[in-house]
Amino acid sequence: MKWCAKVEIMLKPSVLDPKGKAMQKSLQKLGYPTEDIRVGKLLEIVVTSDTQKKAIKQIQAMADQMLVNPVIEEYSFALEPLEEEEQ
Amino acid sequence: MIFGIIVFPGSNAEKDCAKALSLLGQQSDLIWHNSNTDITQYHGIIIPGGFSYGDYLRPGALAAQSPITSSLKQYAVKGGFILGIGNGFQILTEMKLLAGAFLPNHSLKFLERNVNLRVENQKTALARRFKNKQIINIPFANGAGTYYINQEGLNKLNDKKQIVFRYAQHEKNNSTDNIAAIMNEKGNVFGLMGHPERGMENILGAGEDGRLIMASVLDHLLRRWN
Repeated sequence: MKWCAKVEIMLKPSVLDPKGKAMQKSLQKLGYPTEDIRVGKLLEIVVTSDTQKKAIKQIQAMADQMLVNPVIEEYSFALEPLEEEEQ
Repeated sequence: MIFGIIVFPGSNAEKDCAKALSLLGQQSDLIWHNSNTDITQYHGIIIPGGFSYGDYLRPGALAAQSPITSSLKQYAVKGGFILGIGNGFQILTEMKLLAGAFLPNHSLKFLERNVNLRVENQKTALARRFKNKQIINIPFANGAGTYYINQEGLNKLNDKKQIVFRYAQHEKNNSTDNIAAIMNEKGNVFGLMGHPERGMENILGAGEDGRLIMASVLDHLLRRWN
């Protein structure tokens, strides 16, 4: 069956995020009381797998091999079964 | 000597590198990343600058998964010389052949100008023609040129004298400890965030310190291969 993983990738808190800082400053100039903005990535990944456990393993393997660089980033994800498309 | 220059979709400095080598009397082949070329035949490998895979995901992240990377890793293990320039440096960190990672420039601008670098370790393949602490000037062109490494990694780089060049003091650069070029522990894989291949001829207005870096590489490899 098909599963959809929503993978959220963020820069580690210790890593400065210049894009977030630029947005925060712009919003402050517009009068919004923004304290901080961090920019991340949201990936929606559809995988085929018999079990949820295997699907989770697949997503973790993808993150470790390519999607996330652990030197600067961290990630989390939520996995849900995807309704089969109607024939 | 003959060099292999690895080309990914989006590389854009491969011909500059080939030209730089030919100015020093050396040959090179351009190697498409998907080809089955046996890279062990080359005296050295250059991974040129550019925007491999459009910098999608992270600069160098997708190139680091390309078929050629397994032979590059073997080449490195056997002591082969690899130099990554600009995006090539980013690819080598994503391949984990070099420590650290790259972040977008804090200014969020693409920076393209000459920068001053300070020679930190002269006894390395990139710096044989210089003296320690010498200030050199080479072209610089990147959008994600901020080098990042954590304290533990930095201590290791310092302990093993793996930092080859730092940005000179007056250069406002947010890279960790002003790092501009490093090597692996064995001293055969190098990453340089600057473009020596664009500083080969005074007539182009970017000085000739780039030429001295390339000449240092040749000095180093001639010792190794003779």
